[in-house]
Amino acid sequence: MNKDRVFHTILFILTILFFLMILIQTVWHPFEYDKLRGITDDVEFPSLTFDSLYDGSYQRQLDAYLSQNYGFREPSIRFYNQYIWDFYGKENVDHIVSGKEGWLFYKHHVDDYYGQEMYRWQSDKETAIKTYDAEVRRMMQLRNRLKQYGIEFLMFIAPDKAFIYPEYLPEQEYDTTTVNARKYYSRRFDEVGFPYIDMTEMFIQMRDTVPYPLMPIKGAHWNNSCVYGIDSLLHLMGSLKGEQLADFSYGETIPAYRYMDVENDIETYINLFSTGDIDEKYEAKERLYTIVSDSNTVKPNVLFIGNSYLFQVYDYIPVNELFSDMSHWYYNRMSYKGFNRIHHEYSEIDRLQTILMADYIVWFADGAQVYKTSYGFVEDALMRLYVDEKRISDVYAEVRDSIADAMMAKMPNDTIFDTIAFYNQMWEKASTLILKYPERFFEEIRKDSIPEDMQKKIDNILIGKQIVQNEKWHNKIINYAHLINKTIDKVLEEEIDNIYHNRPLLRDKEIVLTADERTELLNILIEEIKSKPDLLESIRQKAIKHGKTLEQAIIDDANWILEDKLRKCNQ
Amino acid sequence: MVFSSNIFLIFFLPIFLIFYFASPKSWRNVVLLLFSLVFYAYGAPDFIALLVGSCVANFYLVKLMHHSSNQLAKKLYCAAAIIISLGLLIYYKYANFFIENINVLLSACGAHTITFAKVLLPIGISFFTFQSITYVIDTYRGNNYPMKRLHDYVLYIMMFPQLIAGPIVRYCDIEQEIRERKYDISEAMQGFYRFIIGLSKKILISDVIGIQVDAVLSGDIAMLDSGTAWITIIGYTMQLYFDFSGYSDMAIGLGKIMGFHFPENFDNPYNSSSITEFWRRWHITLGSFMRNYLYIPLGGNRCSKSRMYFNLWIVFLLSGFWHGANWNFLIWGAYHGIWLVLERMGLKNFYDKIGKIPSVIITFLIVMIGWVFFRIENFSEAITFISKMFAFDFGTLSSCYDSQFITTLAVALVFSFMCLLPFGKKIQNFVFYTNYSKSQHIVVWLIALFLLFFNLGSLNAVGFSPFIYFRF
Repeated sequence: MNKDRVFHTILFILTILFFLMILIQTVWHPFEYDKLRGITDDVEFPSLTFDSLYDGSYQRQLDAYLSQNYGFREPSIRFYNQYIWDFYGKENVDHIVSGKEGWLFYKHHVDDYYGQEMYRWQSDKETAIKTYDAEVRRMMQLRNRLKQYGIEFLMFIAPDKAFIYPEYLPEQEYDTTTVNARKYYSRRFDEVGFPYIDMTEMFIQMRDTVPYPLMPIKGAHWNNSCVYGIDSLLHLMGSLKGEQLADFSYGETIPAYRYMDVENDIETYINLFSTGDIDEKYEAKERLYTIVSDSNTVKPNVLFIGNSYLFQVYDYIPVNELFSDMSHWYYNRMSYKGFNRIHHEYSEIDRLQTILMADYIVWFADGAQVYKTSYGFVEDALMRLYVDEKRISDVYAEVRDSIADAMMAKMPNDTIFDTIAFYNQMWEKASTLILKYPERFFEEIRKDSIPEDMQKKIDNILIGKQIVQNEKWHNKIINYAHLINKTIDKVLEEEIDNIYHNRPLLRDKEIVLTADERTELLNILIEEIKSKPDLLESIRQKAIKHGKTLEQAIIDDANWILEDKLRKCNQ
Repeated sequence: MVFSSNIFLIFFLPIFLIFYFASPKSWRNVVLLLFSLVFYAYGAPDFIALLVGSCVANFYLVKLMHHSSNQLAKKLYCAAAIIISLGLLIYYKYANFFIENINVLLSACGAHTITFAKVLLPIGISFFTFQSITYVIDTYRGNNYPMKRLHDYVLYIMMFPQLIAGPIVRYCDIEQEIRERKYDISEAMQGFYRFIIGLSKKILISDVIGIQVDAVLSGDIAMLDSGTAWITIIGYTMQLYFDFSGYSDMAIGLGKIMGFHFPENFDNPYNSSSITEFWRRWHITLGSFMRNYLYIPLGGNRCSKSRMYFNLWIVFLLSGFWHGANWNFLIWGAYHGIWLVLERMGLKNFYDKIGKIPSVIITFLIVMIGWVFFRIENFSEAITFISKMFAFDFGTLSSCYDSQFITTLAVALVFSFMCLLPFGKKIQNFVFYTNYSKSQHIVVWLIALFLLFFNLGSLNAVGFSPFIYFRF
């Protein structure tokens, strides 16, 4: 074999190895890469059958699978994206808009600025105004109702980057035939006296007074500037109830030492290696602050109905120093509870109770989201205040079934479909319809007063809220529930019953156990100890040390635990 | 299956190459045939039996024809083989068209229309039908002997690199290589480079241009301004060329990797200084087929002038019809036929007088207008489009296209016309026909691997689009 042939053979083998490497990476993924951001279809590798090959479904699924999983997908797509970005200033993502001087915008914000966002949600200006007017009317109805229960309902409009820094937007035509939801709501709120803050307008006023951008140039959301927003929100909340809430005291501005993901959250969606350096004047800065509070400062329980702008608040501000508790209903579809954002299934939470347990309820959305009319929260809250939960479920089921029947009537007889998915879809349609016209489905909402049975339920929750807000009383309920092995809710219910029937309250009682009660509780404790191998082993060691039988040591321990619980109850 | 798809690039090609080169030489045809069957069955499983069946029938009919001593019997076997091939083509490709048009006539006369279930088109039927015809006729004419082994014949028809969209390889051009071919590893590397060039032409040029062209043509043509109309049709002219020639490059490249030498299908067609020349440079294998198997049998040049003009025109009319069962393709074919006749009648002398560059520009314009009929199925819309081109209203041009489209279009135009200059020709010869030195090989190889990786990114970031010529 001559030298040339050897050379070409090596090159050819290396070429095949290159192809093989892609194949191996496709099948086994030996190299790990950062995942691309964005929507991906979770397609499984198809199983080959004669039928699936013959009808083409195998090929379609394999193509879809390979498109999402082929070897070195991440670097190759990043590389291509980098090429079109660097050479043509283009991005391969339809919801991102590239502005001037490296500024990136979320498309909804740009459309909102140029007057095109309305059409995403409403057919025309007239319909839009009707919808917003109805929403404002319902918001006022809900606000007035909640105010009677000592709850303040208000709105916080998060800043919209496109309006604050329009000079960096790409040139586009304005659509003057539309209505801007944020501006329209603000005007209507002023007219009817609904409390709100529009941070877009505040940031427009502020932007030239700070030596750094209030919004990150490559991100959609706010960064550390959320401090200004929450500061303003606390002031508004406090003024509504005449309460002293925590305050912010500001210090110097420093380069951002806590560089947040939101600084470049749009950029990451473009899936590049890099969009290039940021001009110094646009670099992220942060304003140092301290939270000021004293013994008179109230820490309220706040329910936020909001979008992702709230995540930066959690990340950047020690919210536990501002609030006693907080819930975040994300787009009114997911529920996060507490300061650590514990996720709860939205469908499983008691929405009426959460609403009434809050001291403040804030609809929290940026301008481009205001078109979404509180994500259906106001309508749902009104339904839950006025209508029994069972009836709500029944009406939902009825509407879902009638939509499903109508849909099925249009389908050919032999249509095969996933029943669960279909009915879930119909439920969504029913929900959209009911939330759009809640008064048509639930006449009660139109009335001034709340039906008696609902009022009683609400009163119970409000009494429960009073108990929970009284630390001593609440602790007694908790400790008593622990003592007698009942749920806290059950004991709370009994205490509320005591109030209604003018019976002595648990709060004021000294708990004394009868002999039978003591024996029963001791037996339960003994069984509990025996069911815990670790505890049992430690008691065994103690028994050996003190020369007791195991049985005696268990009884002694159970007695000690019972006495301790009783002591806590009577503290 | 399509060359510019993930399944082909990631699974099919590497697995095939390993099996192919790991097999003893005597087994390679069988491996190639098996993979070709898989290749076709993956895309059109319901037609694989039809294709193999027609191959078997042709193979034995030709065999009978060859061994028959009776001239009449020879003719009958030949006719039977051609009827089977053409019959399938006519049924699958043209039945819908004919019945639809008959129904239009029937309903115009107030008669009952014919009810029929639409016939699906087997992918690549136009190409493999023509290949089988070359085999039948060349054997009948005594230009070659028939194949001895059935699987070699099936391989000739079904070889995956050229099965779906050509080049149309005449049996006599490849007969020897099917029987026995020399393996030259340096040629295999050249084949790999050629494949990557074709892939890049398709994904990085044609598909990028196609997105904008399709976007404009899917809108309201009546609302177009002249600038947009011109850019769109120039775009389509480039899209089509880079799509089809890209496919041909890939086919020729794959053939080279396996030791086959498929004929070239394109030779800088837009550098032609007449339509006659254009057809010597565009889809060369189709032109060659039409000349050898239709034009010459009709009498070719050896007849009266009027008859020759008619022959020429009819050949191009049928050539247009071969591209698709629709009136727009007939019009496109007739349009080209008319220009060819005009050139024979004296227009060619005019071109000679005005010189190369002006005649290239005129030819390019004629070709572009032809592509309007080729691309826009509806005749009145095509006419509207042409009227927009010549309305000279250049209102909103700047807002129509993005920078990637414009840059890619400019690159495509440079590649298309660079061979008008000696320097450009030199570059092309270097890329396609030079035996590289070792250092050149390494550089070109690295570029090829980079392009493969880059094409995969583009393919999956932008989305897949099939080859335009697949539907013909």
